[in-house]
Amino acid sequence: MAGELSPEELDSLLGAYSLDAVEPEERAELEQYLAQNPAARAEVDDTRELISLLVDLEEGSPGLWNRIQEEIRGPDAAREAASSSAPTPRQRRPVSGRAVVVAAAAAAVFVAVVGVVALREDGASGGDRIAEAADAAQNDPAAREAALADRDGVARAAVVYLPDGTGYVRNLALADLPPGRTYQLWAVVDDTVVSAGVLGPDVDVVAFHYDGPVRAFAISTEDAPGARTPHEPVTAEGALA
Amino acid sequence: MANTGQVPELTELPDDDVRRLSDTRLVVGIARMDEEALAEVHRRYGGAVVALAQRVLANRALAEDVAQDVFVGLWKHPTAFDPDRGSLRSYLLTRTHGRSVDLVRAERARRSREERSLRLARPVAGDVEREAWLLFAGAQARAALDALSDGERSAIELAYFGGLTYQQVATQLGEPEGTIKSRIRAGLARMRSALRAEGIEEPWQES
Repeated sequence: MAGELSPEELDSLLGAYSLDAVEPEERAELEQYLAQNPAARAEVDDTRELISLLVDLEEGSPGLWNRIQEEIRGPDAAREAASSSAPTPRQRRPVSGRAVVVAAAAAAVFVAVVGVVALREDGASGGDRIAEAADAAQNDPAAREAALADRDGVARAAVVYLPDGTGYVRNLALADLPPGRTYQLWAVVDDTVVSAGVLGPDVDVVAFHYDGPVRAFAISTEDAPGARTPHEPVTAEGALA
Repeated sequence: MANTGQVPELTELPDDDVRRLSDTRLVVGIARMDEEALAEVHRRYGGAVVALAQRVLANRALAEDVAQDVFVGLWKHPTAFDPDRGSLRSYLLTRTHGRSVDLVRAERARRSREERSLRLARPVAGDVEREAWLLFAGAQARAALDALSDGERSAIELAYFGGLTYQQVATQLGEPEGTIKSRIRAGLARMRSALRAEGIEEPWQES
């Protein structure tokens, strides 16, 4: 169905779309259109702001809050594990719209650290095994790869990423860091930057696991033991191909 | 990695009274897994979320299910809220509406629609300034809706509160689909202009 409607027809549907009053195939086409058309996006956002004012102010019910609380504390609340294993974090960052976008990285930072550290602590033989596994992954037809380049376009690291969320980072040109500093890997998922693990100060080949719809990876340089949000500019970044 | 036993700063909000924090600040708190921040967002907007879902679904139990999904969704994916695109209230209500109409269209709630009943609104206690603004803006929005032509108003109400597609609205009103589509968009544009004329251009912003 994509591409069937003209821009004029799509514009004429913006009001109905703002009210969720279009058919699914129209919605899909409109969402593509909105992603490329800031004026149309702004019309929809403004309309939704307006229409939300028609909803009465009421107080939430304690019964509902209890159900929400039970669910977010329950076993399916994926983010809970991170809070219980979080080490002392670094200084608080100033709050801003940007902070909202990156703050969720906190959820995954230290979960991922556990797996990465376990693989690195195997010593030299463990390192060999990781390198072998990385080679095998690279030959896997289902694997995707990303070349992580710095701002000058120089490839600093390569990532091989398997469909089950296992991945390997290989150092191409990342210099060893001084004590107290570490490289950290970040996964870009939709508009969110999520930590995929702390790589250590001297990267050779490091395994990690992050299961999600990743579209790109980045590596930043941080104070050990790692950060909740990436220090910018990042050291290297690249999209998965 | 062993738990250090320290209270993680990640889960703390600043020392300010949580009720005085802006919505954006609360979402930052939620991203840091601060349950109190989510509780405050629920306190501010839980009623509106349930009210909208109930208006569309005409079923209190389903409305609370939708509300639960919406707040748990904010907890799990706080970064999906983009403060540059609008208010947290509008964001939550947009998600609420989308889920509610999906349910209506799946006809899970259809059999209870005739049981629809109006519920008296209870004003929210708490931040007087924000709620005064919302009351004022809400009154202006309703006045703007009332000022539309009957055709525009009924198309918007059936689509938004009735959870109908514009095609279904057209069938219900016996009008061509193109007419309904145009009435909805023109009516909404007129409402936006009316609110701009009253000085309501931006969502409530806390300092």
